Amino acid sequence: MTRLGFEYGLQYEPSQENILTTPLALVGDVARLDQPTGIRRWVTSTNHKDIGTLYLCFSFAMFIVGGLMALTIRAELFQPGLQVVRPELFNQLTTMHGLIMLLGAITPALVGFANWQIPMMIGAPDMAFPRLNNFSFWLLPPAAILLVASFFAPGGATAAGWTLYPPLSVQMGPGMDMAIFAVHLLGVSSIMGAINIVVTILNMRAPGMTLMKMPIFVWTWLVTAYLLIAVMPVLAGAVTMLLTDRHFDTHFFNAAGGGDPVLFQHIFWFFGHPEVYILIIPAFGIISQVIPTFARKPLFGYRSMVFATCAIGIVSGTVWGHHMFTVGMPVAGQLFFMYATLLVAIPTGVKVFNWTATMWEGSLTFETPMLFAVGFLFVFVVGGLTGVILAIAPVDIQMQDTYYVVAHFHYTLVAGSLFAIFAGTYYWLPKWTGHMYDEKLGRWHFWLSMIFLNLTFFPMFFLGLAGMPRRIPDYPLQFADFNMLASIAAFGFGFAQLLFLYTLIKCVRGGPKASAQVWDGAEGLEWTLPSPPPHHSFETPPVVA
Amino acid sequence: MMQSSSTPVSRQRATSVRIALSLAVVALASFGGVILAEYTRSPQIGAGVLGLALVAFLLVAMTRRERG
Repeated sequence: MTRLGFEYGLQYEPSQENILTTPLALVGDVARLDQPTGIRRWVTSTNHKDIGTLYLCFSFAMFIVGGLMALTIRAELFQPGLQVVRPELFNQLTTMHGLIMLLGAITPALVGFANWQIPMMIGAPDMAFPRLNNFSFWLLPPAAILLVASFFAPGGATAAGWTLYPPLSVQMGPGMDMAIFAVHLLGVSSIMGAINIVVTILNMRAPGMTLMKMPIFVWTWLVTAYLLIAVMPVLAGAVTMLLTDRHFDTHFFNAAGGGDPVLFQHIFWFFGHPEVYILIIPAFGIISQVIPTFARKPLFGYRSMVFATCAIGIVSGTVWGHHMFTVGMPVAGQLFFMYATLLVAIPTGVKVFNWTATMWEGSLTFETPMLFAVGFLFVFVVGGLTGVILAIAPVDIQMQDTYYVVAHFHYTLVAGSLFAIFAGTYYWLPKWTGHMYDEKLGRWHFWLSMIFLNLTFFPMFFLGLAGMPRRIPDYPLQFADFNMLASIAAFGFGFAQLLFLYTLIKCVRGGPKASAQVWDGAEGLEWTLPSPPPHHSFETPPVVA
Repeated sequence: MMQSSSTPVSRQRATSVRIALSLAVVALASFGGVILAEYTRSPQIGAGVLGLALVAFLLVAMTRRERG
């Protein structure tokens, strides 16, 4: 019996009934003959791997678009005064950078991982609703086009910030309507994708794979999908009310008509804070797969990891008010949201402890995925700890809307989510493409990203502590040096991502052949499939003992 | 005694559809409930929507196919 892993002795027995190797590959190749090729393959595909690839390519394209906006912002902030863009365009760029990176780049990238990996990890042939899966993806490009095209609308794109707060968002031009429609499309896509993921995980697992035998990555996506279903409709409701305020004479958020702008903030952050966890929980899942592989040890504390993930998901729905300490909240409210936010540090701390304990006395090697995973541990903790600082109401009132907040959330989302996405990409790329990537280029990518990330965002803590407000195109001379450093480093970080693109293309086009196992310490059903996997991953469900 | 004519695949499909519909109801109720609660300024509607969502989540948990 071949031991495949997980912490609870999950075992898979390759028998004639549930064979996964050569015969399945043949079946897959024969099945592939019936599949459309060329552009039709990508447009009409209902295969989870094709759709996963589409999600990943789309997210990278949006990452480049959002990144170019970030570089324009940093070019403007290179020195005091107005050099590159008008203040109105600067505000549009900061708004669109946030919306595109959160909803167009990071979320689709993680959904791409879910599409590729979940069926293979649970022994399913595909997602539960393949056509719905295709539709979920194809809602994204129109949303992206709406967001980018809104720059050319009269008055330009929305400049209300990614949070779309009224009254600004009620007063803006048609670019705001385009953004609202884009958010609706992205929301519908996310909800349909989340339903598909929940059903796949609950109903399509291989016989014998109980919930507590599922890989942690699958667990993290189950919790994330529930979160998406719980909070995405709330965002859709909020932007629908904005739309009716703008065009149908309602007064949900219009103070002049008896509405309440602060109400929007409550509704928005009821979505917005869980959204942060939607972006980081699957990243935790990726890191939980990578570290045990390169430590050659089972994940320390599997059960506590599962419970910590669920705890983070539940608590995340109770902390939204910490984004609103300065709006005039009662002290009891401030205390509640402060303590609830501090509570999140406990399950997150459990995770960091478990990852560290997994590495303890392990046979560690540092290939690129592991470099990114260890890098994630260092820099994500910076983001997490500064979050604890910001959770304390009196401190937050001082830091509100300063660059300290900008540094904090970039440390959680760039150093956290993005580094985990890089780790996962290098980890599973040989499985997806059948080729090993260039390890030397991967290491260069890691070190350049690590150095430039810290040079870009760490100075922002000092800028924030010194009182530099966010979302301004100009600033006093006293902030010039750190801004110059951050801008130069941001371009370095951007260059490092071109190296990543080159490494990806090189790997897709060729390279040393990857074995089915790829990494000697890797455990799980996906590693029993050939690299690349056949068109239909598991036509006969494997039996997990 | 009548024998069920459904195959394991069709039973699994039916369970999948049932779970998906329950979750879709949760999403639609949240979407409509947020707007309705604010439109009527009624905290009862907000609490009702939350309760419906919880019941639907529980239904999903209880009706999912038991696995060996």
